[in-house]
Amino acid sequence: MQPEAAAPYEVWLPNTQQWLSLRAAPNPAGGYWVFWDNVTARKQAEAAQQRSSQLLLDIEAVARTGSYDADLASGSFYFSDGMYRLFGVAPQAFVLTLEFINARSHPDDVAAVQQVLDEAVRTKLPYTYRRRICRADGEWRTLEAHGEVRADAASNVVRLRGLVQDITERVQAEQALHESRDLLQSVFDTSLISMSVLYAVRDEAGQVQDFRLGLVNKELERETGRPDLVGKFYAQEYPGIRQVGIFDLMLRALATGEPQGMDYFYDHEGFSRWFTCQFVKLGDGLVATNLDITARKTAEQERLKNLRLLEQAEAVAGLGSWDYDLLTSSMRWSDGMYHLFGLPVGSAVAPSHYLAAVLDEDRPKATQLVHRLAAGEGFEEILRLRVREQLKTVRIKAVVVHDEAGQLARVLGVDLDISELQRLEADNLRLRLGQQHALFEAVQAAQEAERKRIAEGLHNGIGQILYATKLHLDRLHAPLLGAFPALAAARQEADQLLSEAIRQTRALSHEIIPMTLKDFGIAAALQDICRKMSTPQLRLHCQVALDDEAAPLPASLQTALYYIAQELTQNIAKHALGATDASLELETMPGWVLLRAEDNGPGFAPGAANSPGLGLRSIRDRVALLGGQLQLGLVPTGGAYVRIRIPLTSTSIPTP
Amino acid sequence: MIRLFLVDDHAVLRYGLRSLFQQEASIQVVGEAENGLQLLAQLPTTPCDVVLLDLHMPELDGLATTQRLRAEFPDVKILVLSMVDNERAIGQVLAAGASGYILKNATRDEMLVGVRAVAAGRRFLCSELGLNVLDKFLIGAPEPPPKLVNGLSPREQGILQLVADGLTTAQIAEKLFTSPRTVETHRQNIMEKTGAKNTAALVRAAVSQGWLA
Repeated sequence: MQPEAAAPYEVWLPNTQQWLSLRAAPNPAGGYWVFWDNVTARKQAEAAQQRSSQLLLDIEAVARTGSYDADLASGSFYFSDGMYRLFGVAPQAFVLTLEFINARSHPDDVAAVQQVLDEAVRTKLPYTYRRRICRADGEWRTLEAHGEVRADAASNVVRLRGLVQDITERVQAEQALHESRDLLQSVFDTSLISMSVLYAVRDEAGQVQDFRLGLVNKELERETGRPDLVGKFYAQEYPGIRQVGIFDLMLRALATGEPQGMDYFYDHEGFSRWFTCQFVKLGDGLVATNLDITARKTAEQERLKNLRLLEQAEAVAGLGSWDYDLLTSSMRWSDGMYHLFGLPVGSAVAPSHYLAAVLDEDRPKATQLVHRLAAGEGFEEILRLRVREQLKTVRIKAVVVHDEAGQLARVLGVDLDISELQRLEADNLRLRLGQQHALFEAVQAAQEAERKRIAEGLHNGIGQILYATKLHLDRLHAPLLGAFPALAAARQEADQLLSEAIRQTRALSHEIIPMTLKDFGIAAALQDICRKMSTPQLRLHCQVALDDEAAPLPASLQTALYYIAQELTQNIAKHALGATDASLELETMPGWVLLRAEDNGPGFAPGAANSPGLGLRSIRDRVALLGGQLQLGLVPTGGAYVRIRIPLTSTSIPTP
Repeated sequence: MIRLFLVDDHAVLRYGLRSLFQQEASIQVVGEAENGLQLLAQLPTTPCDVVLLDLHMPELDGLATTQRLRAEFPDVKILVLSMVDNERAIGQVLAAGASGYILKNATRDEMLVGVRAVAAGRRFLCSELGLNVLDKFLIGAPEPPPKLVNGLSPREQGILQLVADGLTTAQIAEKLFTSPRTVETHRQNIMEKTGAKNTAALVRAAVSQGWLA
């Protein structure tokens, strides 16, 4: 078989699904030799190649790609149709060259691409580069090439083959993404709040073990002093979050999808500050915001502390403060005020609360107070209030506050519970009076003892001796002295002097110690006084009406009354000149003993009521010490009266 | 012969008395005691007619001794000799059974008269006491105090004024430093004296009669 130039004829045998190549050659016999080959395999390969070529072309067209094949040895280039299209020119309209491509390329990229290619030739590794070109229509596009290096058996690089793709849209998208990410980051970074994006880190069971920091803003970096947090595990870096409950809060935000937040004091990993945090679920992670609120918290705590202090101070001092707004006629109370008035804290208040609580006696004052409050006047007042069946004395002081324009704006006030103070003062007074009284009684007792000693000295000593002397003198009676008249007269004189001495001693001793009082009681003693003081010119009546049911008057009080009565009658005898009739009256009634002296004399000398004599002053002092009162004046029919009222208490100690 | 027993806690006085009575033949001092108890102890062996008794003594005083003597020795007469000039004390001891009372200021003669009088079963009071009592009696019956036209006392007049002023009994009591009870008593007396049936009539009368200041 000799292959001749005659073109072979290929025929498809559908029955056998074979391609045959028929070739005719003249044979010596004048005929033709027909040779055939089964070329099915070749035909199929050719078809496949053609199809793939076409496919490549189609793909290039659709995917806006092109390819090239550079023969380094010959320096020739093959550019696919796609390459032409990438440059916006008709395929194969001219011969595409590297020069053309470089001319259309962004100047910055030419050298860069060349460098990539040189590097690829050197390393023989696959390469990639980007090149910005200006298309025929003037539009700038970005091309991306992936290529490979082919070497011959001697490892010499013989060709470069590459696939070029127009990635302008992708680049643009990438850039847009980049820009939006930058924007986000810049928003992130310009925020004064620490922000981060955290991704849940789960174990095989799906349990969240920790959170990985995906995004961290500048503030958080600044706050933590850690620029390296991205990719780190949150709880691993900051174990403290598990202790203060933040980790649980994060889990809750993740589990429920509900934003979670809390204020917390973070005292771990070198922090010692207050933060507020907020966690919002984002996919299988969280967006976390964190703000240092230490300053605010400190101020808040300071304010709270001050408020507490004020509240405590108010509670301790029984103090309340209030604020009356003149514009709205509204009143605000501190807690202390509510406590003062025994009202639930926070309930509505008005000035009328004063009227509701005030005692009837103080109602006019309270009414005036409310008026002055409404009129925007300052005041200072003491009111007695009945709060929960308890009497409270409250001192109220109010000052007016003007606004910037100088107009009356509000009245500020303080109410101070002075009940305790008053009680203490009263106690103190009572104590002092009690001490005074005790002192008075002690002095009186001492005086009594002294008087008694003197009286007994007079009575039992001097008096008896005087009488014994008189008796001895009497032995020199008339018959014996008859012969000596001068002696008899002298004896007589001595006898009379002795008698007078005895009488005066006796009188003095009885005056010093009121025997009747001791032996017969106050009523008899006063009657004795009146009887003794009575003269034919001045009659002293005595009237005593003592409560029979009441306990007998204390001995000390009886003694005091006796001396007072004595002074009163002596005063009348001495000063009520011309008086013919006088009375001394003693009576008791529940709680009081009353003593009165009246005369029908000319009354007090002018000015006497203001500057009573020594006697009256000593009576006054005595009465005051007994907690009593003394009045003196003129009776309508003329004459003077002295009225004394002394409280009767079990201890005889005056109570206010 | 009168047998006399001296009872006084002052030795110097007993000595004086003894000397005094020694001069009298009709009176014999049969014993001395410092107090009532000593007297009572001696009396059974030392009978006497008259006891000259001091009031203020330790152990058993004059008054108690008098009571004991009256009960235990009813025949013995008691003559008190004391410094005490108080009428009540005197009345008390006389009431208890003493026959006489002499102040320790009496003269020898008075003393002798007293002892004899008592011994004779009469009562005796020394002259100073007798004169005192007379003085008091004379003072006790003075001319009556001047009554006002309506017969009211100054006190009643004052209360009438206050009643007319419209004060209640309690207010009047408070004003006058007296008790409501006393004011009420005065009020009743005023009504009786003026013959007014009630307060309104009383006030009317007081105004019309010009009783008010």
